Amino acid sequence: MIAVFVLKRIGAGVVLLLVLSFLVFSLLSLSPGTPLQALLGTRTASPELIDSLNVRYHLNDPFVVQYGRWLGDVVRLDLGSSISVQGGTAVGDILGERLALTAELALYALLLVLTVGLPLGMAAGIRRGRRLDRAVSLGATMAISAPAFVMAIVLLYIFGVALKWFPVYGTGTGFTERVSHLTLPAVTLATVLSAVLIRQTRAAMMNVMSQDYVAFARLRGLSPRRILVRYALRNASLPVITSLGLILVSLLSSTLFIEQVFSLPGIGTLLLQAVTNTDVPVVQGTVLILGAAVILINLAVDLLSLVVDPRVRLVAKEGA
Amino acid sequence: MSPAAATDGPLLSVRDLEVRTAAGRTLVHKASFDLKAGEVLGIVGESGSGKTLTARALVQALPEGVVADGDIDFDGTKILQSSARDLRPLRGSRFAMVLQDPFTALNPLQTVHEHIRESLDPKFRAGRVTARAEVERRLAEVGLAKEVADRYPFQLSGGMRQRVVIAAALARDPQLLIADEPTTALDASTQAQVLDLLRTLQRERGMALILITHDLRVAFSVSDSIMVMYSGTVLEHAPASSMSAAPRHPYSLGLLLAEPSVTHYQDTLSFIPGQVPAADTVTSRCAFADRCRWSTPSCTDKAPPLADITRVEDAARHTSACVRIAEIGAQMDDAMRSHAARPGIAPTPTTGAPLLQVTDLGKTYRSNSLLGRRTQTTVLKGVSFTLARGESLGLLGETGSGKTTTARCILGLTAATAGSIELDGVDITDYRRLRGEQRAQVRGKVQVVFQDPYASLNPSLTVGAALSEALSAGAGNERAPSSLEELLGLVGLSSSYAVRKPSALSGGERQRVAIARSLAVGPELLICDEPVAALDVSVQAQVLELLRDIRSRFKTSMLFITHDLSVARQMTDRTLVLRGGEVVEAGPTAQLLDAPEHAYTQSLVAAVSGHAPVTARSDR
Ligand SMILES: Nc1ncnc2c1ncn2[C@@H]1O[C@H](COP(=O)(O)OP(=O)(O)OP(=O)(O)O)[C@@H](O)[C@H]1O
Ligand code: SF4
Ligand SMILES: [Mg+2]
Repeated sequence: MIAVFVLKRIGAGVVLLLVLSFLVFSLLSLSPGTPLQALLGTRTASPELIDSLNVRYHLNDPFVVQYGRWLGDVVRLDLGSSISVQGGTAVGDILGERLALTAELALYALLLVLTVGLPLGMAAGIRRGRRLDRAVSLGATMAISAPAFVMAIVLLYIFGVALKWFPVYGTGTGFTERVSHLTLPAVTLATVLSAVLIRQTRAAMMNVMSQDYVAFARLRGLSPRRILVRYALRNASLPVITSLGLILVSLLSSTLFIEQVFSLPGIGTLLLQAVTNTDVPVVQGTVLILGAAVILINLAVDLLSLVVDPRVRLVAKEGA
Repeated sequence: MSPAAATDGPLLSVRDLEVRTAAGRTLVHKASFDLKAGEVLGIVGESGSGKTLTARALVQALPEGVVADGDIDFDGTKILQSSARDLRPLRGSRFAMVLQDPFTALNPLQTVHEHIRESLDPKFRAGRVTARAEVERRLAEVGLAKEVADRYPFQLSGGMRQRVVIAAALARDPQLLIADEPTTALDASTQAQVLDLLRTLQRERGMALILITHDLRVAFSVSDSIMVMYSGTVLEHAPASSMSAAPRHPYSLGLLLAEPSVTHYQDTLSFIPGQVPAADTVTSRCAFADRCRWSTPSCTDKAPPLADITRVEDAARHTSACVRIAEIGAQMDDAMRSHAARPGIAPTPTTGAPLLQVTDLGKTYRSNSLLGRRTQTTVLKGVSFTLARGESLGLLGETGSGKTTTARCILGLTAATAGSIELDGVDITDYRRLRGEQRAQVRGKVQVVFQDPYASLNPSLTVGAALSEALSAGAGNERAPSSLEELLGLVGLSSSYAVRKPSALSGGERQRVAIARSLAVGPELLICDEPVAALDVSVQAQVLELLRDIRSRFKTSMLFITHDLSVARQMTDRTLVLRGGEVVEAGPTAQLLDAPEHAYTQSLVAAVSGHAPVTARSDR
């Protein structure tokens, strides 16, 4: 039954997370020098510090036991504490702070994609060859071929420096300020992603509109509204949903990148700092969080296609 | 009752219908005809003759880039002069159309119930309970159980889908239904059932029906009158009985004669030589002149008008666009008579040494679903047969009966999961176990001709290049033709074809090239997988003749896969009937078709002879 199917999917996600956690944990022994050296970083190796690290990371136990204990801590949301990025602060706390900003940015961009990009793509597909379609397609092609950082800098220059509509850096305090600070990065992100999505929805829409079932619906005199919604939009959403996972994941990775350009202190910036400073616990925590996000996104997309497409639903029903 | 039905005037009247591309190329030229309420009109003609465009023009549903001109009067509405908005209320309620392919006509995300409910008149659509009851009633009318309502299209067979399509099209009880090849995409026996259903519905409702088909037999069995189209023009329009007894246009005659007989063997299969010209090249002459044996200069001076030639024996108006019909009518009648009177004698089956021995062949597909649960589908079970040298064996059955899987096993395209296959003393059950040189030998002995010549030829290679490649593979075999000219000659093509690409060939020519390619290595066994199913009648006979010729010249054994009983009759010595992966009946073809023993074979035979029992609805 469907519940079993869902549970199996979740189970598969958990397994993937475990594998990821193992890889992440291995980072410690893979980093140059001994694990102890890695954990010490540039700090002076006082005997107390060494002792506390040995105890905290069970460095004298065999590798597998170390992993088990570390995993136990992780499950209790204890990711250790930062070495160099914010020396001594618990990784969980740092992550929580940075994650909020990244999530806000990603959500803002997603909102723009769904309210502007998606409808534009659909409209272009329906009015194929008309002026709207040509304008949208041209825009999408340009956005796809322009590298994201060029676009970011151009937007930054025009709206930030020249027109001064939006602040150039910083995060702002309070809701309105935050929104205005995040607008330029979100627009950049949304433009890059929409370009891909517009092409996809346009193609899906065009494909659907040329299908026999749309022709047959017209021949039966169904209302144009019904044909648009129940026939065209629903069917066109299938291929888009399938690729949504990919789009969302690329949204995530682009966010990391855009944060750099707009110097926003989000997860991306954190990851970069942690890697350059070989702050292993922070790297571990960040990678785990990002990995979990990717797995969750894919799970959500799977479930969404289960809701929309009866064929998938039936496979799920019979298969479980 | 519509005003038209009351006054007995035509329900639909078409005058000088022209269909052109936006660029001005003529596709349909001056089509004119009337249809009375409750009447059935069959439109027949080869692929590309303009049947679909004519039908679509009638309901203003032409594809993009194509425009229509002329007068179409449907019960007082000038269709071509009306706006899409004005026509919408008439769609479904006054006229409706059913498309060829039931597999694509339904919204994959909607249940059957939703499809029918949305098509209903608003007064039934509103209430939940009323709608439910009405949908059930409509389903029952097309012979479907009420449980079907909650299924999605992908859960239904082709025949069931076409029934749903019909129910949806008729949901607002239109006076005219246009059905464009409604059964072409279905299995033979399902075809008969769906046609039966259409006929019954048409009669019960007194609805006018335009049935488009390229199958004359189908047209005769359903229609009151038949209109023959060719190259975008109407050549003859006659009462069905007159058309089948005494066609009054050389093209109609050619079509009738080209239909391979299902009841008896024919010594020669007649066909219409040449090709269909493009519609815009023949607007001012007889379109058929290039292929007509009675053609004289008077035929090409100007376009022959569709003249009234109604005789006493005609049940209704009879028109023909042949200017010489008065002179040649008698000769045409002679041709019809001699065709009917001369059943040929089937050659006595050759009984050479066995070439192919298939024993207890089985094939089971195991698939791991995405959740790890295993499913098994058995597509072949215990299939055994022997094929002698020079013999032609038919494999008869519907889609999914395992015909093609059997062929694929013999060709080594898929591995059998049980049983054995022996070719000329070599065990070829598993091609992977053959040594390299053995495999090459086997490949030289077995060749295949597929159904779709469009898909089986590489579009970027010229005919010459494709065939030379094949010839070099057959070098060294004494049965293989030695030159490209010889090979092209074998399939009746001049060497000028060598420089053409597949896109510049007609369907029949492509199939010839595909046959030539398989002959290049001088095979001993030719597997023909529905070689003429994608071709028009006139071309079908041509390709069948070619295959017969090859068989008698080279003593090639043939495994003839077909769903068409008449093809089996004409092309095979013995026939196996496959159903659900098992052989249900086997025997000499003539005997098997004349006196079928198994109930399934009986139903197949009954279906083609037009005596399908109305109640046998296996796909319900
Ligand atoms: N959208 C189109 N644009 C241009 N030409 C077209 C278009 N649709 C069809 N044609 C051409 O018009 C001619 C008639 O096509 P039509 O589809 O009416 O033939 P048909 O008799 O229905 O054939 P079939 O039996 O293959 O369905 C063909 O030569 C075809 O190539
Ligand atoms: S008009 Fe002439 S060419 Fe045309 S069908 Fe009649 S006899 Fe043949
Ligand atoms: Mg057609």
